[in-house]
Amino acid sequence: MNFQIKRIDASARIGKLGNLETPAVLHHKKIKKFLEDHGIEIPEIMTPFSVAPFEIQNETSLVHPKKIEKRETELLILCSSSYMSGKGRELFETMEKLKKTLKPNTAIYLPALATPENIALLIFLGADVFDDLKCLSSAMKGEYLTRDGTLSVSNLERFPCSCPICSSYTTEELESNWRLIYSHNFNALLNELENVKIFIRKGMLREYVSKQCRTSPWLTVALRLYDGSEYYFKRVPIRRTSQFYANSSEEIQRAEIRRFASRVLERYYPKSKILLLLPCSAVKPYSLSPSHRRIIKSLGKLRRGVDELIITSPLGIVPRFLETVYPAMHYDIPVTGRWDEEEKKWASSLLREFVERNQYERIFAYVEGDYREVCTLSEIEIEFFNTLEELRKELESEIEDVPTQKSYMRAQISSIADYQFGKGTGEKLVKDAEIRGRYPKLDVMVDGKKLASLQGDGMLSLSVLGGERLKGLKDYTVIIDDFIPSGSILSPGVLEAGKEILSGDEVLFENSRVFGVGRAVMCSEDMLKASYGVAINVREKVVKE
Amino acid sequence: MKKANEPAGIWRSADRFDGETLPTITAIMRTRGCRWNSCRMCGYFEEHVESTEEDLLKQFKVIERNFPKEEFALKIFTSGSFFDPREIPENVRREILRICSSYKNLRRLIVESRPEFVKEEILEEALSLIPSLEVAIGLETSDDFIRNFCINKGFSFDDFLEASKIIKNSGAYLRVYLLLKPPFLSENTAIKDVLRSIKAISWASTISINPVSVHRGTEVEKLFRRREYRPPWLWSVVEVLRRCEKKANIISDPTGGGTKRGAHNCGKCDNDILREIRKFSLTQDESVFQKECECKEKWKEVLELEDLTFGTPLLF
Ligand SMILES: [Zn+2]
Repeated sequence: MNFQIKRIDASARIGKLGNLETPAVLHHKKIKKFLEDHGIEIPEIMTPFSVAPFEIQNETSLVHPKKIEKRETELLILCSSSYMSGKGRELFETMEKLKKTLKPNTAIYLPALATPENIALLIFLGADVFDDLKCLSSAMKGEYLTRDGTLSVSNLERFPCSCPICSSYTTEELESNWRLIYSHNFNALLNELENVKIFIRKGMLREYVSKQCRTSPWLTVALRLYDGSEYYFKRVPIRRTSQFYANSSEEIQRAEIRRFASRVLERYYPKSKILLLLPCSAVKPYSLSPSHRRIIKSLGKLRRGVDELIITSPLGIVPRFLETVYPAMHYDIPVTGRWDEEEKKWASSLLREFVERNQYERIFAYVEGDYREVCTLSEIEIEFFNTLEELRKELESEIEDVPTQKSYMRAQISSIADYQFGKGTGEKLVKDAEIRGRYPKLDVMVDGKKLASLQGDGMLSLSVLGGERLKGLKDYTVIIDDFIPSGSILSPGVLEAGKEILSGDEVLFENSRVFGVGRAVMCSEDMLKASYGVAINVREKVVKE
Repeated sequence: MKKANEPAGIWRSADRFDGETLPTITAIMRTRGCRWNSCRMCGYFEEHVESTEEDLLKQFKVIERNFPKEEFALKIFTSGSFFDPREIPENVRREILRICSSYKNLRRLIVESRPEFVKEEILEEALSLIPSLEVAIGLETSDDFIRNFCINKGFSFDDFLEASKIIKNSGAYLRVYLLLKPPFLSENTAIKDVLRSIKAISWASTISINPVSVHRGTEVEKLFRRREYRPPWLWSVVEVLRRCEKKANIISDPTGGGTKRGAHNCGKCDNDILREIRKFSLTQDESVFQKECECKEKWKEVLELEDLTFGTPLLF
């Protein structure tokens, strides 16, 4: 039996284990059969969470939290996992260690742990199989489970639920019959499971978990630890087509935000001696918003002679050339018109570091209110302008050579390429190229042939021609086994994978017979570790003579 | 303050011997404590004191004062081994046995020992004074893995067999203690283990089923506090008593029964069930088990499903 991963959303996945679609909740009457089908025997002696297992326990499909080790199995059961209920740190650390140790295509079963409240987080951390045992044991204690937590059935006057049980029985009836409570609990769990699957399919489980973990401090603890984890960081895709919601200031800790900030600092370089600071806009990309259009219109071609940098929350700073890059074009936040201190600190420290790294001769700003405060907080030397007219006049006297529209467009594509593939790669890609199309959907052409295109998600897709221009780019190249791939490259065919590759990245692949370009489905570590599953979706290839 | 010259406890109850019920005096003597002292669930070391030979004899004098006029049985427990000369020096042992032999109404003397202290010479000598001597060994289970890993008892089933052979050959009675639900076993496995064990030692005179209770300062207590161990259900005790092979006299007196730290059910039915268990121990009559309670359904689910948590109690 194989565990096939059909869809990945960061560390969560939809898969198939035999004919069981995961994530799945097993009914307690079916668990033994399930174990049998997988050839798993239940040992007589089993130690609880805090006691290391004895040597005699060596069932390959079972692993104990105190002794996590590599296993060659399609399904793995984490023994005593129910202990982690209510314990965010234990849950996070155990799951992280488990995920680090196991092959990515190992289905993880957490027995007796899932509740309607926690299952989203458990799936988010990368678990696949659950059961209803906690629904049952809670019911025996008179605990009525909901997505928002546990209620004591004896304190209920009405049900906050309309499942078949809750709509046909009274609270008194449930109080005197725990089997009815169980049925409700189980319904609630299945309901939530379906809910979670919808969010995985949308690629937005993170947004859901950010909300869902607010029901209990221990869930929030696990999410915070997740945000600090290098392992999970690498599994967050480099791009999504879905919206990016940051509804609380804690979202600043998300991988997407931290990654964007570090790439702006490390992979972007100035295209001018003048930096112009601007406020963000609700419409994305910014340059298509009414407020930015007004600025653009007023500055005219002078704008091509400066580096524009947009101040925003929670991304902090966004260079104009990177305004389409995920998540800059995709984020949405509750706009109250007021920034909290945390947001101001984050943006101003990024601004300061950006200016320290990049040598600008003059820094102008056309900002007000909190944006201006961010500028002040950064403690860099800024010349503020209150009107666009004054700004335009100053630029007119300062800028001698305005780049052509063509080279300006090339510089933008080049900046995005640098963001995706590392500093310096953009120059190679756009050399002598012509940019065509209607912003933000652009094609990078040379001699009538496409090198790359800027997709709806605001990042570049390469053609094989464009890929050839980037040849030798080790960090994003995958060496595959000696075959000519068709639609996709499976992980067992991957021999080497550039260390920077993340899910969603454009990659080059190669062996002695073929060279091509495609989209990574896994990060490089997983490509090498997984014994099954699609590693790269091939876009285009050329067979070598 | 623990006094070295007073026993830790003396109480009177009734027990069944060879089909008849006798009043029984149980006395816990304070000794230097069990030499092994490493069992996961044992908290008796708490009782130990550095008692001299003189102290021990004084303790026994106190016990002697509690002897009844009528026929009776006497249990002398040290929470260790009566035959371990480090706990009960030879002189003291001889003196205790001598005094006991002077009571013609003493129908049975029961002492406890680990197998390694059961020696032919010692037994012969003891039996010459007390022909009705009964030696109790805490075998706990016939399963060596469970005894080693879950209990950490420090002897094997073979060690027990050797000692029990000596006891049987000498003509003394053999009493065996079995532990119900040592840590790391599910409720269901625990029952199976005791039933298996009873079968394996069917030639004992008496088999006493001891459900684990949570003692202070023990490893089991640590587990209990973390909700990683739940003492057995009283239903499980009943289940064992009902289903077991009854070649030997099968008894049980759950310590701390009906409390969170001892074998317990829902709290509503516990006292009735404890009464039935005691009644069974005296009569060996299965028909005493009549009590029903709604918590039995939960216990049945626990039996069926607790294995599936892979190491944590399903219901604490
Ligand atoms: Zn009950």
